Amino acid sequence: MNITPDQIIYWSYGSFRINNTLVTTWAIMMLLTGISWLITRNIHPDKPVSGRQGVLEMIFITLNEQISEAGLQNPARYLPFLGTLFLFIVCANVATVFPGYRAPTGSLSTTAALAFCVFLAVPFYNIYDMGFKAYLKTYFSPNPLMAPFNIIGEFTRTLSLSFRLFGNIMSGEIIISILLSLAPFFFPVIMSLFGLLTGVIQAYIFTILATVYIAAASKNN
Amino acid sequence: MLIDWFTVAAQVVNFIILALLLRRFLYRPVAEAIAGRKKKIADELAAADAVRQDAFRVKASYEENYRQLEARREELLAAARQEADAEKALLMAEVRKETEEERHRLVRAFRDDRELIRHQISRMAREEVFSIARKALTDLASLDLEAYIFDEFLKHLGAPGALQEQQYRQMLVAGPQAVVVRTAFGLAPAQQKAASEALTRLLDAGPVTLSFEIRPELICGVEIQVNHHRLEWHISGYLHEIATIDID
Repeated sequence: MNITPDQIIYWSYGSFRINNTLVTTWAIMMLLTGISWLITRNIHPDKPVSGRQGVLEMIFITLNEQISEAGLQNPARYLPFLGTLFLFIVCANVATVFPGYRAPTGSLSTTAALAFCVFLAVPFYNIYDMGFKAYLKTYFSPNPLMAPFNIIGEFTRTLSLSFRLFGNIMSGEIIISILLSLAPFFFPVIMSLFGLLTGVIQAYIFTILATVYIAAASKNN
Repeated sequence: MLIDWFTVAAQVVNFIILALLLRRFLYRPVAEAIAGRKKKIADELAAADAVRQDAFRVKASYEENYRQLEARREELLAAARQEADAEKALLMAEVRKETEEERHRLVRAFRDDRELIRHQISRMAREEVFSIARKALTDLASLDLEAYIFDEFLKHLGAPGALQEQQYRQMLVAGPQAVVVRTAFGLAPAQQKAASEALTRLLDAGPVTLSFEIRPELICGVEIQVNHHRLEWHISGYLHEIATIDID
């Protein structure tokens, strides 16, 4: 059994390898984009709100509230990044109920990429808000001696983000696979249900931690 | 190796693309829809508030108009009351006046009726009295009442009282003119001559021109007119006083 879906390669050309992680990611991207387009193509303030639009608006408002509660004052500005993180991870994790599906979040490459995005987003938003110099000063806060630790902290939290998500999803998939071979009729179903719960919680944790990292850097200023 | 760096790079790109796509197809439309709906609700609330303010203004305007109308109504009522009082007073005065006039008219009518009745009673009394007296004298004493009355009148002219004589002489202030002797019966020539002599003596003014007229309404009396003065000697005058005393 492959630990990571990266090892399932459909096509390769030199270093370019189209593996299962990329394919499922593209599928999730198309799914999310397609559903969004279908629901929002006829959306208009004067039209009555449909049930699907209501669900979208509920998700939209909930994400905004969560971002706001985490400490970011203008949630609409961060929603494209943080909301996409949440929706992508949730979809990737919840889809594990389909047989033969390997979640891209069970790939360390994906979680590392997402953590890297967060790693970039923190200085991006804060430099945009407070300027480059002011952001640099945050690394020397509360005193210059803390600068190495702050820099190390940036990297370690990125690593922790990626490994936490990767570990949880990957371990869940492996446990289900093992249980399928040992007791194929009962425990895999329970574990799949647990996997759904774990997947949603991990998506929430990942998104909230990213929000907190951005908000913390802003507050340090 | 758990990490495939090409996959990492591809996933970063994929994530950025997904974020852009969702921003285009999800976040922005939903945000615009929510904002549009909020704006619509706010506009409707503002419109409702404007309508409410208009309603308050209209209500205040109507209340002011109502107060003005009430005040106007009170003024009109007061004016109408004054006018009605004045009209009432005028009508009452007219009614009083008409009532008073009607009362006077009725009093006059009553007096006229009373005079008429008195006159009728007087006339009937005279006729009855004279008729009875004449019949009684004729039947019992074979006397002519009218002749006796005329003789008695001539006696009276021959020897009047002091008061009557003064009265008779006043008839001649304007000088003797035509003297008219009216009787209810025809006078014999001897009676006419006696009357002429008696009047000549009484008036003491030389010869008097006499004329004789017959008036049945005098019943059994004699009436002499000299100038504008009249000397009556008949039962009507006598009974007039009696009838007046009886009715009053």
